[in-house]
Amino acid sequence: MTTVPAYRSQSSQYSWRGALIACGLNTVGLSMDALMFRHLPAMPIWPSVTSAAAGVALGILLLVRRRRPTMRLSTTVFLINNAFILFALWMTSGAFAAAPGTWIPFQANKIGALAASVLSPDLATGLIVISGFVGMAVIRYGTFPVDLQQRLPMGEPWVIFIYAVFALAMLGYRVHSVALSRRMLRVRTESIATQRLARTFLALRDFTNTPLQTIELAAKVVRKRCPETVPLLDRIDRSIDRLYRLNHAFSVYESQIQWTDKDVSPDPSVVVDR
Amino acid sequence: MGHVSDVLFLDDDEDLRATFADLVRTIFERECHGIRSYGDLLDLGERALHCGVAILDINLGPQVPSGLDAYGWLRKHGFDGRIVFLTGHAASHPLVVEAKRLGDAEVVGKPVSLDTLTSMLEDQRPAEQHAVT
Repeated sequence: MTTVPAYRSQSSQYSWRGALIACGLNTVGLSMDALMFRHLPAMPIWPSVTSAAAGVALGILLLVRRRRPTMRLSTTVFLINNAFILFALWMTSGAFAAAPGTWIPFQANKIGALAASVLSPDLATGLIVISGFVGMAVIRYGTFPVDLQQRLPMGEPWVIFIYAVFALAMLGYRVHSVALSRRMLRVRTESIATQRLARTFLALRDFTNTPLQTIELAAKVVRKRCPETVPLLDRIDRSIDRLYRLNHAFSVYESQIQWTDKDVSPDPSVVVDR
Repeated sequence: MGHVSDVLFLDDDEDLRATFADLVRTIFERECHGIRSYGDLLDLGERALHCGVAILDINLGPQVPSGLDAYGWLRKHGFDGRIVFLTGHAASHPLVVEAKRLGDAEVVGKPVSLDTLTSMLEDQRPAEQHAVT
């Protein structure tokens, strides 16, 4: 059976959580949009409802796959979820702009860009989604009639670029931090594996030391008592020497081991009899 | 009653114990008291204290007194002969490190050669060839 390394599994779990939260925010945010602004003139409700429903469906898909999350699934879900949000924002922003009263333009796009910087599974996906929120606002602004454009507060829609800069900085910092923690986890995992291997080799060496010592000393006794067996005993001695060389080769692992209280009286037969 | 030329050998491996005793009797023509545990040492009592050399395995098994405990008992009861720890463990192992700190005992790694054994039993010089470093 192939096992997934801990650092890779952690990475998939992390992306899965981010995608699930993004789905939740879509569901909650767009549902509230639909409820709170349904009375605005010419406000289409169905895009927000559709987006919220997509958030629910994608969230369920993630929950079904919670035991086997993959980066690919999380990235795909994250992108589809944000595509639905962008679609809903595109469809409803015209009604917001035309509504009586003061509208703070593209608030959802600004928040969306910041949320993407925190929740995106990786750098590329984060860049795509942040660009999506910024690009949609700018293009949608271009589709507004001139009188609507002139009603917008000063600096709009270009303020969104300030949000974009903050979002990109946050995304870069987060991706770097995640990469660092993954590297640390990988090093730690490798260190544990090396320790385990070193302990096994040393246990094998310790286990064989005493029998080898017994054979060697027994050969000395026989050599003294039965001189006619010397040629045979020479062969035994040479074989023992080769085994000692093998034992010596295991010595390089000594420096890899960090001894603990459990090692004070180790029982090598535990490793050998496994 | 033990004799100053006698050798005390403490190891939990029965075959090594018997073989070592054979070797000491056959090659060095000396008496060897082979014992397997700290408890056996207490049973041997005075006879152990009159030996000239004590060779002690450091690790006598999990959850039982070690060769270091045997060392403590021997010194506490006036054993003034040479004490050599024999170990199959790494030089960095906690018990080996502790044994090396004792100062008036040598630590020798298994496997030990006949030359080293000879120096332990006859020359009364510190064993060097296989000393754990």
